Order: sequence, then C-alpha cells, then structure tokens
Amino acid sequence: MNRLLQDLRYALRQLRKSPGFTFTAVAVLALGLGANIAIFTVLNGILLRPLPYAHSDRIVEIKGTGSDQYYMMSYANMLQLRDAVGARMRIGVVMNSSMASIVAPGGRFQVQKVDVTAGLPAMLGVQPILGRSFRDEENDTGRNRVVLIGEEVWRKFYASDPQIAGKSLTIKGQAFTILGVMPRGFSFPFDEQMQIWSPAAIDPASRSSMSGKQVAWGDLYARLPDGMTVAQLTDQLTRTQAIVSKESTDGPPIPPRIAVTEYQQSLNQQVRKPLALLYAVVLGIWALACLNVTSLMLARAVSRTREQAVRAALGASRMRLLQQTLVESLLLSGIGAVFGLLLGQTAIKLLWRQIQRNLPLTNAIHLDWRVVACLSALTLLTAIVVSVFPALRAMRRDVQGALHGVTATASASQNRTREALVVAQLALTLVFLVGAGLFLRTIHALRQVPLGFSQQNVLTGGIILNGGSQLDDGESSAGQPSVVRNSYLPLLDRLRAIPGVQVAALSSVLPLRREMRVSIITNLDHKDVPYGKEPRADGRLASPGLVDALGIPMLRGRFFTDGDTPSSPPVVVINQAFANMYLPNQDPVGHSVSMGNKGRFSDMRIVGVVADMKQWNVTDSTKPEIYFCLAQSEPGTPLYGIATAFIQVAIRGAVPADSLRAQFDKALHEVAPDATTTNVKTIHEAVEDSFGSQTLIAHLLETFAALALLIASVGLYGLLSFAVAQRTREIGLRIALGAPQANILSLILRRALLLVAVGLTIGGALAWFAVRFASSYIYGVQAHDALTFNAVVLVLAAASFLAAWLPARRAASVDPILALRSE
Amino acid sequence: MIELKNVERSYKTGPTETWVLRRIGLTIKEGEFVTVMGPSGAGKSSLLNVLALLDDGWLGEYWFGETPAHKLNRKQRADLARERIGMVFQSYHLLDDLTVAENIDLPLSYKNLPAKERQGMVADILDRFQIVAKKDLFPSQLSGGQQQLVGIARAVVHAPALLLADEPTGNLHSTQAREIMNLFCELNRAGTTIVQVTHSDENARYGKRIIELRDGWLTRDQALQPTTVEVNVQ
Repeated sequence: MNRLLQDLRYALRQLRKSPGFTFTAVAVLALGLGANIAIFTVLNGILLRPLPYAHSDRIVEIKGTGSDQYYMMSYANMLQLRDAVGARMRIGVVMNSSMASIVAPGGRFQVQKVDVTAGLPAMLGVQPILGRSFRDEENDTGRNRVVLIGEEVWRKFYASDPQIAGKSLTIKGQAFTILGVMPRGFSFPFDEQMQIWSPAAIDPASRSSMSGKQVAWGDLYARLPDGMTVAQLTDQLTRTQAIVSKESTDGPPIPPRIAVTEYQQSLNQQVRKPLALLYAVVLGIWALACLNVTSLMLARAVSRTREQAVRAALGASRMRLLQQTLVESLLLSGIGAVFGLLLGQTAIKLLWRQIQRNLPLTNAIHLDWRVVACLSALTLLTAIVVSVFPALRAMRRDVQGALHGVTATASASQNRTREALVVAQLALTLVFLVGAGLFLRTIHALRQVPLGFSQQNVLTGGIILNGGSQLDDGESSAGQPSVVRNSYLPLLDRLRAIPGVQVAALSSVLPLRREMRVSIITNLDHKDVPYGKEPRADGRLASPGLVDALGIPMLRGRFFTDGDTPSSPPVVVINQAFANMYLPNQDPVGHSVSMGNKGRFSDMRIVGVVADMKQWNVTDSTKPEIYFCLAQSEPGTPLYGIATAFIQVAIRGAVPADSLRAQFDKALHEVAPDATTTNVKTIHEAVEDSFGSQTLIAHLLETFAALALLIASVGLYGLLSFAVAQRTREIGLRIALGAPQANILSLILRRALLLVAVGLTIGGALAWFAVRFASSYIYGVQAHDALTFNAVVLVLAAASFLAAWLPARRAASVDPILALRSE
Repeated sequence: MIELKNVERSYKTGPTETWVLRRIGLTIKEGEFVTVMGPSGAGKSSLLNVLALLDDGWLGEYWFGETPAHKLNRKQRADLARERIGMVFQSYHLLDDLTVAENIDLPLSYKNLPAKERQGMVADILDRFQIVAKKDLFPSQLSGGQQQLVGIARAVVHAPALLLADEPTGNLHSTQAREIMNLFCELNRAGTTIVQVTHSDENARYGKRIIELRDGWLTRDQALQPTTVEVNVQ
C-alpha cells in the first residue's frame, strides 16, 4: 500500500511537471471515454435496464397474428388463452389508453389514462406505495370509478399528500376516487407520459363475446409461468388459438396464430441495431483515443529512459517498474474518466430533445450502477492498454546503455511502433469520416425530397376534446350534438381571428405526423367490382383552407369551401395517386364516390384533385387518398367517429409559427375547456422528426468524426514534433552544411506523406467493408459512393498536412549553432 | 569477498565480435579499496558493470563471498545486488523530481522494509553526511559536489558490503573531488569494500591497490605503497 501511494504521489508530481502532455492525454481520454459513456448510458436505459416490474424479463406481450396482417384480439379470446394455460399464467389487459385533462390542486395537466383489468398491477408484481391496488370486482360496470395515480402526478400536482387515498378526481366530467399511488418510475404501458390507471368497465357479456356489439378489445400482457419459455408458451397458445379461430365463424376475423414477445424487447426491437452500430462507433473512438495516448506515453517513456535505468540499477524489479507505469496510466485514465463522464452527461442533455423524439424508453436513460461499472471497467482497461508499450519498454534491462546515454533516444523499432499507432489512428478516422459523410448526404437527400407541401411558418398540433360529446366504444353517434358544429367550426373562427394568422384549417391527418391512419374501401361511379378489387384509399376529414394552410397545389377543380355544408351535396377531393390508379386518363372531377348503399355518403361528387404529398414517410411513395369535408361530417355519418376522437390543426402565420403556440392553446380552451393537445410543433419539426433516428445518428457521427479527426491530427503532430526534437542535432548539422530550408521541410513532410498514404489506404479498405453495416440506414446515396470517399480522403489529407506542416516549419527554423552546442 | 575467474565479455555487431573483457581473473578481499584504471575503451566500465551484476552477458565465474553469481538467474542476481552492492555514478543520476531525502530513500523502497525503518535509515544517513538541511531540496538546487554527496549517500544507505564508483569525481572540480575521495576513505575505514574506476592518478592514490586494464586484458595488479594522507572529514 505504501509503495502504491508512493508511486501515486510520484505520478501526480510527474503529471504536474508536464502540463502539455497531461492536458493532451487527459483531453483525448476524456473525449474517448466520454463518447463511450454517453452512448452506453442511452444503451443501458433502453436495452439493459430492466423495466420497473418484478422480474421484468418474464413479462410478455401476446398478440394475434396471421399472414402479414395485424389482428385485434377480443377480451373473450384472451380469457380462452388464459384458461388453456391455467392459473399458472397471470394476465393483464390494457383495454383503452387516451389522454385526459385533469384539474388538481397543483394545476391543470394532461395525463395518459389507462383502462386496465384489475389484475394488471398484481401480474406486474407491483404494489402501490400508498393505498391499495384494484380488486377484481372493480372491473364491473358501475364499480370502476377508481384510479391509481402515478408517483409523478402525486408529487407534482398533489404535493405528495399522504392523505391522498380516498380523495376525488374528475376526469372527462366523471368523478373518480383515488385508491393509491404507484411507485416512483412505474409506468405501464411503458411511456414518458404521466399516467393514471383505472379498471376498465367490462360487462359480463364481453367476457364471452367474440363478435357483435358486446365485444371488448384490448392488448394482452402476461407473466410467463415458472419454468416456461417464450417459445413454449407460443406453441401452447398457438395450438389453443387454432381451435378458437376454427370455432368462431362469424364476426370479425380471429387471428389464427399467436406471437409472444418479451415486453421489453417489443419496446426496443427497432432501435437495437442502430444502437449497436453507434456503440461500435464509440468503441472505435475509444480505441483511437487509446492509440493516441499510447503514442504519447511511448514518447514520454523515451525521455524517461535514464530515470528507469537508475531505478533498475538501484534495485527496482521489473514488476516494480511495471507497477509504476501502470499507476501513472491509471491516474491519467482516472482523471480522463471523470472529465469524460461530465462530457458524456452534458452531451446527453444537449441532445435530449432528439433522443426523446427518436428513441423509446427514454425515461429509463440516466446514470446508474451499470454505467458507473462500465466506466470503471473501461478506465481500468484504458490504463492497461495505454501502458502496454511503455511498460514493456520500462521492463527492458539495457540498464548500462541507458545510464551511459546510449539509449537516450528512441530506437528504430520504437519509432516504427509510434508510426504504426499514428497510421492506425488515421485509418480509423477515415472510417468515421466516411460514415459521417454518408449520413450527412442521407439527411441532405431526405431534405431534398419534394414533400408536396410548404414548411414555412406552419404550426400543427393534435386536439382531443375530452368533452361529453366524445363517443364511448360502440356507442352510436346518431342524435348526438355535433362536435364539428359545436367545437371545431367555432375553433376555426377563433384561430382565424388571431393576429398574424393567415389561414387555419383542421384535418384528421396532417403530413408526416403519423398519429392516425384510416383506410377505407369505396365504390366508384356505382360500378360492381369483384370483392377485393374495390378502390381503397386513406381517408381524411378536412376543413376548407387546408390546401392554403399547407401550400398544397390544386391540380384540378377546387378544394372544400364554406359553401360545403351539411345540407349541400356531399363532395370529396382526391389526390393524384388516386386519380392515376383508379381513374387513369380521365378527368376525375364529376365522378362519384360511395361509402355504403344508403344515405348522403352513398353518392358523393369528386370536385377537385390535389397534388400528391408525403404523408407517412418521405421515402415512401404516396398512397391514394380521399378527403371528406369536415363540415359535412354529421353524427351518424361514416367518418364522424374519427372527428369525435381526434383532429389536427394547421395554422399558417405571417409570423414565425412558434410564436402562435400560446394563442392556439388559449383559443382552444375558450372553445373546449377540457380539451388536450398532443405534439404541438411546427410542420418543419414534424418533417425533421419523421427522419427518425437517421438525424440523431447523423449528428452523432458528425461529432464523432470531427473528434476522430482532431485526435488523429494531434497524434500525427505529436509524432512529427517528437521526431524533429530527436533529430535536432542532425537537422542542425544539415543546415550548417548548407541544406536549404526546402530540403529540411521535405525531410519531415516526406515521412508524414508516407504515413498518411499508408493510413488512408488501410482506412479506405476498412471503410469499404464497414459501410455495409450502415447500408440500411442511408438514403439517396450508395454505400460505396465515390464522391464521399474522395471528399473524406481530401479532408483527412488536408488536416494531416496542417498537422505535419507546423513541426516541419519548426525543423526548418532550427538554429544550427544551438543544436550542435547542446550535444 | 569477490573472486572473478576467466570472466569474459564480448559484443556482437553483425559478423564482428568485439571483446571488451578477456579472461579476467581477480580477487578482492573484504575491506579493500581498489582502483581500476586504463585508457578509454580498456573495459573499465564493463568490468564495473559485471561486478555490479548489471550486466548478464559475461562468461566465466563470479563469486560474491560464498555465492556463485554465475549460477544465479537474472532475478537472483538483482536480489543479490539490491542487498549487497551500492553504486555511485559519474553523472550522479539523481532523479530530478525527487527530493534529496526521497532520492536517498529510493533503493530502500525496493526492499521489503517497513516505512518507519526506512525513514530512520534515511534520517541517519542525512545526519551522517551532514545534509539534513538539504533533505527537501531538489537536485537542481544543489551544486555538483552536493549532488554527488547525495549520490554516495544513496549508494550506502542500505550499508552495502561493496561500493562501486564509476568516475565519481569526473564532473567535479578539484576541491569537491578531494572531499568526495576523503569520504570514500572514511567509508573504507568503516569497513566498506570500495572499487572505483578513475582516470585520475590523484584519486587512485586514495586507494590501496591499482588494477590496470588494456584492451580488455588485466595488465597490472599491484598494491599501492601506504602514504600519509590528510583526511579532513566534514
């Protein structure tokens, strides 16, 4: 222990004495470790950290599947599956999930209200920290006006009131009793939103109805029975389901097969590969940092040759010399790790918005013991890696030579080692630069895709009214007051009156917002068409002004106007894709579209054709679309149910869109005090968000590539500076003998050129193979794009030239008198 | 104390083999003060390196007391050297980042000694060499003579049986050199066996025996006539 402390004290003294070396080494290690820890923190939260349930790896999601089709599963079907396995398998069902606006002592807030079966908390193995959980009978109709609230709701809006159990809460005009508070961090379905849970009202008929109006739908979750694997459960449930689907002949299609997935996997499935790719990149950055610092340590070891020889002559054993080197590396690595941790956590904070938008389970992303353990292990590994070569050198026993100054300079093999390290850094850097280049071009290509609408000064947002006019499942809308007349049209009037607003419009779907998709089957011109060949399209409700708000070109005819009312003939507008597919080579205006055989919607006229625009994804081709006039959507008409559930607003302003947020919110709550909004953002933000994780990956790769370039340049600069220092006497002699400056410059630059050429060649080959792992993420550019590769080579060559130029200039400025005198 | 039999050392460079020590036979008794002399390239430093067990490339027999050093492996030789031999260098070879006290403590830190015992030994040596006031100074703050004094203190702090000195006054002026040589005499009188390498005849007179090397051969080995030498011990 004493020896260790002695070595530590000495190492600290040595580092203080060499501020330049220490700063460079610590900075490089901090960058390498910081990038690593930042990505690991994200990866840990999303992939490794268990969900906040007992033995969360045993919680599974059970879905009905068939041939490339998604099936909803009825509650009765779920009970049959449960019965097939028996009491060993505990299940929980989420029957409904919607946003709700709540007024509490701490203010008004939006929560996700989740209607569940009473056994769900028990299935998850979670008990409330205050109060009690649900009882089975609370799923009965009339007994389900109770809630459990999330810890965040309790803390922020009820000031952690210990007497909360038994208090009342109003949701959508109905009173609920608070039963208790769920533990901190609990969330189900796992989400970032604040949540409250309530037992779903399940009437007795729903427990056995597989069809008809009594059917209850939901999402099924279960705890794997002890000793059973996912595969075994899948087999058993699929066998049961095969029997169930054969026995049910009427009603909606029953899924023929069952898919069972670990719940956590189902949440993070899509990001596993991108995160793995990112972690591979930061491991590369770490390796680069280690190579760089190893090179620095090796140069330093040369300058400490005499010291090591003296220590060996005075009795230091090889292991003792090794220990000393390791302690110094560990100290450097430890200091680098501390700064790296700060850097990494800062980087996460700066990128938090993008992380939240593009990745799931982000509320689990924070520092925990796994991250600290990873950092500690990496710090130790770094210390070992960067000290290998210097330690081997220290253990060499050419004591007498070193004492007499024979080996006070680096040997040829040591120089070759350092050069190899620099070549490796250059090669790795080229790989990162190619990756960054490809992603930059991908984002550029995505941004060049014609969207079909304008992005300037348009604010968008989703609206959920939450009023009494909202339909419950299965309820008929006929005879209900019209939300369109009572809420949406007055809202439009208020929005249009806001100063700075040019146009305001409503639509059930806005481009690239991906909140809702409604597919409909129609009939054109009352023609008989074989089953399966009917025109299919994405259906949208829209108000007049939508094309102006979004800048969508009208190709033929007109869009909806204020003259389109519930009493005027029903009209529709189609897009170009619909016209091309179902009315080719014809003027679509005037043709008839039908939904059903009776009523006003059985004969609607096409009055206009809008240009195609990107709806779901910028890379997908546009699907056929039909727009229905919102004002003509009345209770009892086919698409009215969509209007009651959700609508989106598009506001084009003469002012920046962001400045309209507060006024939009005010106008909405004047018309519908209980309304909640979702994802209020500019259309430009919606477009950027639609690129998904590609934007995040591109930004990260740009940063990492810049880091790599900096580290490699520093490495090359350090190597050449050291070489110049070593050759000072030789250079002085050459100058004294008449060598011109250009000759000295080329002496240094030639060596640099060789190293860079070798590095670029190896790096180019590595990059050629490495890009295939990223090929599924790039768009609009080939993986082996010549322009990208050439540009990267030029950038790296330029940076390397700059790094080599400074030492070369210094060499050419050596004073021969001083250089020769110093011998 | 030391017996060398047919010790030889050569270096191979390509096809050529250069002999720096040829069939050296030498006996050094305990308590002797031996001077090794000869022209440059004669093999003086090579002989010293063999005696110090720093060099492994020699052939022949080397007996250190009863211990056959020629039969020991690298680790055993290093252990023997650490216990029984101290070395003084021409260039002092103090570590610039350690204080005087820390430099003296350095060889002790490589033994398994309790920290308190080491502190005591360092304190004794500082007192003995009258450099207590300088214990917290760094080598760059000392004169050449003072640095060599510290180098000698470091070499004898663990009370070695054999002290080897390679041109110990080579970088000192004459007054400092005399002080250092008087110190060696004092140590020798106290029982330390000393072998020094020097070019200086004056330094050689402080010893009791001269060994001369030429081209790796031991050409002369004679005892010096005793002379009266004024010893001023500070």
